[in-house]
Amino acid sequence: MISLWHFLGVGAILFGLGLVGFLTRRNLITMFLSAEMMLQGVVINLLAFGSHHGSLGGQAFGLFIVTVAACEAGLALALFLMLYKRGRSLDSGDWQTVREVGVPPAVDTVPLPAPPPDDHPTLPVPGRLPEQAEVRFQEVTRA
Amino acid sequence: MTDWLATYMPHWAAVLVAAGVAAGVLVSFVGLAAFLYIWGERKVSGRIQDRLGPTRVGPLGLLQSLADGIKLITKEDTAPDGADKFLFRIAPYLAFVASFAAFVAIPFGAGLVPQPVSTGVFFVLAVLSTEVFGVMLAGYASGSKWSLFGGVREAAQVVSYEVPRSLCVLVPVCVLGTLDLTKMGQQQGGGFWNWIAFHDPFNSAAFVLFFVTATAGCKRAPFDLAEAESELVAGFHTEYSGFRWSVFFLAEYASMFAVSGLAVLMFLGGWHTGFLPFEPTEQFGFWGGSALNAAVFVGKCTLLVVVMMWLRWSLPRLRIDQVMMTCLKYFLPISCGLLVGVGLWQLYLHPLIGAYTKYVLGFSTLLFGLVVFASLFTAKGVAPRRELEGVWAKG
Amino acid sequence: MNLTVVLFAMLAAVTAASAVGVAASRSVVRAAVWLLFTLIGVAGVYFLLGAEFLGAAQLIVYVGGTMVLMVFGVMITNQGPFAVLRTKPVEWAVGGVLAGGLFVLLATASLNFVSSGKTPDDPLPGISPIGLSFLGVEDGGKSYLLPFEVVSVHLLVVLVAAAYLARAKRRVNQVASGKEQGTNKEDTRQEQGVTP
Repeated sequence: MISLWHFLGVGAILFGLGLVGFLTRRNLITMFLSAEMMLQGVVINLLAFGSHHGSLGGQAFGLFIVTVAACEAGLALALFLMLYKRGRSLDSGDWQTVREVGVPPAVDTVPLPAPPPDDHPTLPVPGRLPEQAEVRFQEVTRA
Repeated sequence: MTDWLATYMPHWAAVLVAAGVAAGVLVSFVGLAAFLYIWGERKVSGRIQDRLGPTRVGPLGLLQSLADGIKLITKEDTAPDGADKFLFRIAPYLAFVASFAAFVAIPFGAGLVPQPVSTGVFFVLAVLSTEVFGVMLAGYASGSKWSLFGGVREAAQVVSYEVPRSLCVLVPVCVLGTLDLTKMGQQQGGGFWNWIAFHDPFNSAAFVLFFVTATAGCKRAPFDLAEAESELVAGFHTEYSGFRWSVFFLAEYASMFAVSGLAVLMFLGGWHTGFLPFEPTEQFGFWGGSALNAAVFVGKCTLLVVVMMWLRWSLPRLRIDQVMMTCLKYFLPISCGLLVGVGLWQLYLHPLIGAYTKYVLGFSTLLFGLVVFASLFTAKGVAPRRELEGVWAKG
Repeated sequence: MNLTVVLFAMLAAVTAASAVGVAASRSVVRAAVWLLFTLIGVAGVYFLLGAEFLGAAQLIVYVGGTMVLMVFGVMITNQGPFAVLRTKPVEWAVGGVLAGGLFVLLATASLNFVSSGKTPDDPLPGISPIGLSFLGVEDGGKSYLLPFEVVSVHLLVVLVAAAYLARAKRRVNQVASGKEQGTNKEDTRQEQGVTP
């Protein structure tokens, strides 16, 4: 028969694995995903206890947590986009300027690979001949 | 059935076998529905474009989908070099499983539901909203720009349209006072004026709005931005071929049927015929009544699906900014207004004129439908002229 | 061995396996997909616990909303087709030991609850008591009116903040010149470009 601790066990597994992911990853999005997983473990605990005591509190607080997590996701995505626009990187090690006062910066033993250059294809300016074509055009006129 | 099986095998095995049989019945129903709807879509589009549609395979071309299916299954199942192979492979199944799982909570008749869920409407909406993930993943994992654009558009569109769709669902919920789809259907028995769409003007508007936003949620034209074939080759399924490609279409037709079923259950009286004054399962026995109920329900859903097809072949595709603007600037405020309006109606106007409104709305809609139908026969046919004016000088 | 046990075993296995996938996968999008399976599994656990409304809310908010947003973010911010995450063995060791210790602690703590006897099979209060308690009707239970309002305002504030943070920014001089000339950047470039 399933008892309370089975559900608590699932919650503990989720929390533990989320902690592993949070501690080992440096990509902000992955860290966020791991944090969400830890949150899920917590909600399972709340709900299991709520159902154990036959009370409303577990479900109510589960709903609050889901709401707050949705807020968090929206805000996190906006912050990620802003950070990415500024630094072209989502590595948490690249944002050492926001560390606490008096704490020395963490230095990587193996330096991070440089972010690749922004090589989006660009369209030529409309209404003007592309440069190569321009040269050829001049040659033709000279001849 | 579980009890009958349990005499031959252990209880848990009986439960699993019964679940497997139920799932098999549902899958074959969804498959058959998609099979016929694809044929119907080609016929409808053919008629709208003054063509015949499929005629060669089988009577009336009915077996065209079968021929297509055989062709698709025998095609090579390829994945592009730049694709994330694992995600590319599972994406179509994710989309299909999401729209298939919605059928778990949809009742086809009184008590004819695979698993009664007390929060049925909410469950179906939630499950249908996860379909977008498969589509997005397909767009991302293909490693192609067109697919990626399709996936991003789909994500933006579906997530936005979920909001007015859910708000429109709340309008009939305010009147019916339950989220259970079976109870919703049971409350709309009797005459067709008892259907929620005719309950008050706000619900009539909510029905139209729900249908439009559901069309957008199924990424059907004129909202098919995710696969806009004039701009994005084929959008999110550009790189797919063979069986996986056809799974996307199964998912699309399944979710069309599911949202139509939701609309029918909430607004159009569910499995009730609209003129029988009694519940068929009580008069004809459970199986006889259920057969009638299921037939009526499937017929109503098919009608709505045909309207979706009609829209697809009549309207041009919107641009992505127009799609988003329509949702956020018009549908969202309108649906909020409807929700507030129905609350006020239930509080103040319903006790006064609620008893007459349903007859007025119901019979005027019926009359309007009859007039339109009759006008088809009385209208003078305009025969096309043989010669266009001004093209050929008459000599 | 009844249906609940079978279902619970399946759901717990799926949830835990895909949670391992989240922690171990090297690509951001794959981590998101594994998390998707975890969330669906957790929603199943909620259904099993009798909290149908919370399970459906989990599906619609997390799977249909949050995860879609996250994958959307990955699509926008990823350089190259598929970014690969690298982790050093030392980091694995530290994280693994910490999390393992925490898991053992939690598991032993929760095993102590076995003795309390009551099984969680009692049906949970349905959806209407929750709605009533959110609206402040104290029907023998507790009223959650204040937290509900706080969360609503929080949601609104976050909505405004997210829209403010993610808005399309233009540089000040561009805005000024654009206002004067009534054109944006592309238009001015086009005008300069058209040279005979």
